[in-house]
Amino acid sequence: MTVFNTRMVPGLALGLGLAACRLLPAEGETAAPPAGATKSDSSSSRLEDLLQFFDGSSMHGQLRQMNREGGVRWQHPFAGQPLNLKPDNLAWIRFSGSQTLRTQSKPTCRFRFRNGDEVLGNLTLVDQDKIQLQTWFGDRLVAPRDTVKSIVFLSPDFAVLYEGPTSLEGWVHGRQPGRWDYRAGALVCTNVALVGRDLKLSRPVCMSFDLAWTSQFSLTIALYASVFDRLDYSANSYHIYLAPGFVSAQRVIAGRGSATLGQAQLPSLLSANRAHMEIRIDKEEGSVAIWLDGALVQRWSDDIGGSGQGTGITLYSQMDGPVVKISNLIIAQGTGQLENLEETKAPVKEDIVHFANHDKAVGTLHGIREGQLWFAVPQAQFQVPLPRVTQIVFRDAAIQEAPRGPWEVRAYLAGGGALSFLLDKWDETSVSGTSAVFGRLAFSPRSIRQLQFNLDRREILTGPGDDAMEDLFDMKDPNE
Amino acid sequence: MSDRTNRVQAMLLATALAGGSWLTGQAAGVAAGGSLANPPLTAGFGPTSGAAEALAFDNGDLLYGALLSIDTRHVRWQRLDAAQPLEFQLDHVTEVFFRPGAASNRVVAPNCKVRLNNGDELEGRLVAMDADKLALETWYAGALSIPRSVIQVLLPVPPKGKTVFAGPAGFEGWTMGKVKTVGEKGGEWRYKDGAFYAAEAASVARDVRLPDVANLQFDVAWKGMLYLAIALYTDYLQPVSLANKESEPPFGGFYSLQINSYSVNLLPVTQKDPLRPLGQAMVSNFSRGTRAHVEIRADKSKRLIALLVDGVMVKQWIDPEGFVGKGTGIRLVHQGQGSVRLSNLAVSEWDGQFEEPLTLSARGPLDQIRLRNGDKVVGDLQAFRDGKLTVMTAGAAKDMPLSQVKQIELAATKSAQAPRATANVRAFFASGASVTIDLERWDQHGVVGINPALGPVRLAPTAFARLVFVTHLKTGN
Repeated sequence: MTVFNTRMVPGLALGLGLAACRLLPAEGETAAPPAGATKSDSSSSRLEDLLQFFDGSSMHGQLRQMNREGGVRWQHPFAGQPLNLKPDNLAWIRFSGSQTLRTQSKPTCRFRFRNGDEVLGNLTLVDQDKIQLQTWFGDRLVAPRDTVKSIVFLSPDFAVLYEGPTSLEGWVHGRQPGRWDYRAGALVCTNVALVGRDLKLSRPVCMSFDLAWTSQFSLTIALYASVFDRLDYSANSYHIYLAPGFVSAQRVIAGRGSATLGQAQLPSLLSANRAHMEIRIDKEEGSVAIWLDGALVQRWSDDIGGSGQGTGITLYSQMDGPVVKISNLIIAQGTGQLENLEETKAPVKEDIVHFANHDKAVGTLHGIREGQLWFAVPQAQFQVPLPRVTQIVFRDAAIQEAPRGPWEVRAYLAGGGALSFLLDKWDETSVSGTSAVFGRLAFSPRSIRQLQFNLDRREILTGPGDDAMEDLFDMKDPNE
Repeated sequence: MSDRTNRVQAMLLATALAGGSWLTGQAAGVAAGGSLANPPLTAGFGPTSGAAEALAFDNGDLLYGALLSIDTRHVRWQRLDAAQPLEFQLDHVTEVFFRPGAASNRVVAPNCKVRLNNGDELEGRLVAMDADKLALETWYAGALSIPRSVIQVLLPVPPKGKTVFAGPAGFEGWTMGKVKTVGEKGGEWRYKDGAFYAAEAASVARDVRLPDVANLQFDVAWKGMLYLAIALYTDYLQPVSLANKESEPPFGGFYSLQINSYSVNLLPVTQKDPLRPLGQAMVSNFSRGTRAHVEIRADKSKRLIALLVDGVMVKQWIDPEGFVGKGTGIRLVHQGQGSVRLSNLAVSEWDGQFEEPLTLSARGPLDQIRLRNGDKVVGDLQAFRDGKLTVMTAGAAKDMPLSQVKQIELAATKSAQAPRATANVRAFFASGASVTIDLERWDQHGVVGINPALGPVRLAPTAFARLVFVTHLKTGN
């Protein structure tokens, strides 16, 4: 009964399309609220790092040092001396001051690996045994081909506009008495309240987030909104309405009210308190798609014409009582890429190549070199210039999954991507370790927005301030 | 009790449950009066959570672990994953929460609460009282001699009702119901570690010998929607479809308490009579949370059924047409949506009296004694000895057993002014009573400090369920 097993993995929002982002500053973080809007306060902002334990404990502070011999050295604001902790009970550390990396060349690919890693970089070679890539942490990295799950070729205008929340800064509160609050990496609402943000949206958008709730919540998300302190029906926009059990999509048409694009059942939400959601809207092609926990739920066509006019989003919790929490919110946009970022959960027995003209080929990828892709289908072999390729999905390969110790960590990176490695040491200037894919690594810790420990564990019993959300129990058959 | 306290205590309970050990074996054994089980102090917890006490800070941080000590400047805290004890500045600590049950490992059964003029409340066995002082035997501070002048009210503790069922400890003795649902297959309850779980429509029932005046309580936790029905005083152990009850096999009348994410409703159910809801009540705890402690109290002679959620009265229903319950069983029915867990189920006799908030009259020159039968005696309480109070009233001495007394409000003329509070800590007992202490030291050997009314005190550290630092209490932090 997997419906009871929908635990959130920190950074899960990086899955599917949203990891395909460039390493540039997030525009939305610095966008100013419109004139006349109620500027949000940031009194509850957490400017320190946050350490989360599996037993539900959590504390703010600053990571001073970390290595396998000495453990985790954490400076708590109310402790005279740094605290020395073993990693066995650590779930994650969230870093408040992480910075998106600027690189010499803009990455053109997202590489997704079978161990869950996602790396942005440039592809230089694929042959029978390996791939070679350039990334921000290495110029000539080589990975065994069997470790690669897919490669997505990014459109030039693909960008992550927002990644957070890390505070309420930049969010605009609605006109209701109720307020959204910021708590430990999440926007939390317990009453009727709206919060919005200008993200300078202009192209197809992919909005991904972890959603947690109690009881019969009701949440409306407006995309391409023009007004950020209320739901606006005066300009074209999209409204996605979420509640336990179903989701619906509406097109708001300037001066003409709204039209329902469709509704889909989400029965698994009736027995859950959390889910990972993705909303993908391509206003140019006229499509709205909803993804739940990594699977496509529904795609609706919008043939109304006159697509979304605004540039922001609003989140509107419409019930007084239930707790609604949104975390790991990532909003990206890019032309022509969103539809190709779907990956099947079914076994992949042959290599698959997606092309820019929406065709695809299923067969054997012989290699990529010098800007050409060499591919074989049962009756033919062909060669294609790489710019015509949008995505490659590699055939399944058996991988050994050995139990991972607490020092096997996964770093979620500001601007997108995730990288796992056996950590050797961490200090204020450098983090180093050994990746099962790439071997020895060393890079700046400032690019890490969250570091996950104990990768084989998922359960955090409780958490400060959001205990109403936490899993008390795993409702799968306890005798299994 | 603050919302935060509720939350953290629920978290502690959740942690304890996750550890699991104290619900196994005796399966949530219940104390005589139906209060929740008192787990042994040595009960284990999950290896990562250690002794699941919690330390809360004014920046929102929360740490599980074990309190080692407090002095005037620092708190020392132990965690299994910390190489050394952790030391924090006391100024930023708001509360310390102790493991549920640890605080109630009492040896002396209390028969009285003593409320002082400054709001402190002490629980213990009332041994004697005269015009000058009261002798209270406690398990946490030994024999206390309390000046009568600092006492405001005495609240005798009623005798505990007999426990008739505590569990679940498995399915033995329970009847698994055959659930019929439209278009879906019925599910079954599952059992693990002292709890029933259901994720589909399911029914389980048992003749628990519900007393005529009864208290039924349990912990409920859920995911998604909460839809639960509890049949009370049923003689039929299979689920009854209310829509088709006339065509069900013969069953005697019962009450169906229907709980959902927002509200509760009570229905008297008989095979032939139309359904007649007795009234609905909203329960905000169900919409805001994912767990609750539910108490159902019933008194057949008064045709009364009452519901308390997390200790707060939600609704009392009186059946105007007589009590329809014909059996002594209960049936737990998951209605099909959401997932639910039931644990710490206990059925006990009840004395028919609800806990009432303390009501104080304008204190006059005489002592005022309220009896459990509703009578009131005004006079001069001269003494307590050999289990009886002696009161001079209307010129004659009258003796009355403590067990008949609900509240004694002492005359204002016998009281001293409440001493100025200099305490920095309010320490709460498991019962909810609390004392203020100007804390000098807290460690495994004892809690040492000065109580504004009693002077220097030394208390057992295991006496307490929660410690609130008064600075933060005042600021509402």
